[in-house]
Amino acid sequence: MRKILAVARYEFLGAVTRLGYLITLVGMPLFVGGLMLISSLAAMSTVAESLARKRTIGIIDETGLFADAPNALEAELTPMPDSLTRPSAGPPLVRRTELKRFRSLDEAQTDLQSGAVTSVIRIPRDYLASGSLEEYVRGKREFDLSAGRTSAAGILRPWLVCGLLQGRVDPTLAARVADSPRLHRFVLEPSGAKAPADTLRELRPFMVPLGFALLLLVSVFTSASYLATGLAEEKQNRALELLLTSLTPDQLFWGKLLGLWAAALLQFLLYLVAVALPAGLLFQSLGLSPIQAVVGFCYFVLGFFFYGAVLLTVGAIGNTQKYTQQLSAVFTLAAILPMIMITSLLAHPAGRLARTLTYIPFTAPVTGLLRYGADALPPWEFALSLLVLTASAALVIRICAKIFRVALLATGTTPTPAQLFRWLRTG
Amino acid sequence: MNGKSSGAALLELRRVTKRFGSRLAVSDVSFSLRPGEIFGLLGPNGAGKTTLLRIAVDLLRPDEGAVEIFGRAPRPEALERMGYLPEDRGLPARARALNLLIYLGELKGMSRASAREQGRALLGRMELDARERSKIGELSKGNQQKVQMAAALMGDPMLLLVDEPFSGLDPMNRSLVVQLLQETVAQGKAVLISTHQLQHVEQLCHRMLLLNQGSMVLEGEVGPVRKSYADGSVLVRGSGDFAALPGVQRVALAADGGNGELPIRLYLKPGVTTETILQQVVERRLSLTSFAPHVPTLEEIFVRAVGGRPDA
Repeated sequence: MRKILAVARYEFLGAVTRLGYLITLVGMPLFVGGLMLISSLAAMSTVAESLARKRTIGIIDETGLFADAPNALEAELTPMPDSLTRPSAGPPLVRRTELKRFRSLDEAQTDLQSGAVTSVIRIPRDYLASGSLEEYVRGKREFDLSAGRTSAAGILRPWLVCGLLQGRVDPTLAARVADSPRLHRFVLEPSGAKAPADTLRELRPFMVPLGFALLLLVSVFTSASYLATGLAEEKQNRALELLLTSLTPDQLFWGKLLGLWAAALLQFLLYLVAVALPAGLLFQSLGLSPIQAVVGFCYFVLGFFFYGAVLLTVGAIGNTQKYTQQLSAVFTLAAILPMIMITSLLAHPAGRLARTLTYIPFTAPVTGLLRYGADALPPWEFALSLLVLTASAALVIRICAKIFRVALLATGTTPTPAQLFRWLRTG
Repeated sequence: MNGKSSGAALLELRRVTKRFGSRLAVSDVSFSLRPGEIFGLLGPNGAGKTTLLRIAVDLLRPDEGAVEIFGRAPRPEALERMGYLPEDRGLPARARALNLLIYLGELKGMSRASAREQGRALLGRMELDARERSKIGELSKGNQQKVQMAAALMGDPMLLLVDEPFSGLDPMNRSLVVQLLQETVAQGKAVLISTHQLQHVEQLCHRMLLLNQGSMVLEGEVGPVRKSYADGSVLVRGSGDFAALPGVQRVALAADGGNGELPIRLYLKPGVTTETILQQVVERRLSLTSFAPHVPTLEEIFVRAVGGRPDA
């Protein structure tokens, strides 16, 4: 045990004093935070600009029903959030749309292609019977972030309604029918208290577990990749021969695994203290709870031992750092698979896909965290998932230690699967 | 050559054979190493020297035969009392010299404090005390080799196995390492040295084993082995017509003996002794500054036994 601890301490100090570790430690939260801030500010500003921009829409009215309808319309929009903490501050946005009438598509063609009109709406003769409109746009257009809120049909709806009802019903009634309902959303707590719903509250099931999953992935893979590449380097320059005259491969394996786990844990805890806790205190509606931290910690510990053992073996098998990095990338991809599928997982957190990924050791930590955040991971599933992860980690450590024992002194060509199997039998 | 070997073997390999797939790396090799002895392992590249060293430090297990360290099969406690210097400079480039020695000392079972003390002492002995905070990668090749030597000596090993210890060292540092190895055996420890540099084997080793293609070619004490290869020729320095001596079959210039004057090698006729030749030199009043029977160098023996140069 003394030797394992000596190796663990050496590996830990070696990892935490690496420039790469320190850059990741400090740089990653700043980078991710900065990127999110810049992209959200840019997106908000672009959407706001896009909404406020004056538009001109071409109209071909074949019915003649809208001959007296106005040639311009204005609509007041729900303001864009200033930030995540102030979802509905700021002055209201006014969207002004002008309409330009054409007799036929041929007549509208020049204006459409030159961009003088953003689109052309054709109201066919049978509109009253069919309710169908046709919209014509240019082949190539700018990507519009506000497209969802500025579709021609959406903009024109009040105009169409007013045009149809003009002179037939009370104007106030016509205006009310034309106007979309303004929905104010509240959260009703079990205690009976009600509070306005806000963006953060709605993002909570997504943000907190996603944050934990990111912390887990960054911490685990920063350290585990050091583990793999460091071992490949030691193997390549034969430093391992010197070490293995003083300790057994098992002692080396466990020492390295524990040392790098400690480095990953330090990173995880520092992120938690430096980023997650202030965020939790600042934004109380994030609803960070100690249970979430415990769930995250459980997945972190088991996830690291599972991935650490796998990547340690990758380092032992690889004869060059390049090969090790390539092979490590395969397992890294497996770990981030749930992040790639995050939309499906959050849409159906208790669905078949989410449940399957919860019990596959490579994807269990991240999937489990996402499902927990979405309140879709019952305690028995959490326990079972941890059990599967524990058993897999134990099995992988056992298999990897065997391969590790033989692979450490094997140099030259990269082993074939058949050779790996032989090592497994002889290790 | 100094020191006197005695006592039970610290390391013994008995009829060891090792194969890598279908390739026979070592075949039926036996030797032992006693306290106070420096044992030289010689052979061309691929002869099986490094494989034997790895078997001796339990990095590899033999397919046949047995290895005993301190009289017993290899076990972790015994390995702690062994020092090993691998052929390739295998130290992590990012590690600092003293920290690395402390770490290796701890792995040898030392406390951190005593490992620090010994690490400092060894770096001082290697004239590297000013570089104890330097990273290995920042050191010159020679200094890296010296740190590696210090690493092998951590834990005060009873048995030191060194693979090409003079590689990358300048003459001053070679002398330093020679001196260290001699001090080590003077303390009753044993050294197994694998090298191509045969002049150091002549200078340092008590016994030697010459390997070729994994098999033993020659084994024994260095002096008697050299004498056994003597062909009866005589090396002389002086002036006069040595070729005209009645007992001389032919003469040749020998390699420089070091004092500038090239010695002449006299090949004697069958049945003629060195005493007879000396008598003939005196009778003919030839000028003589040195006269000695020729004992072949290990390099000459190597070439004759293996059929190539040691670094071939």
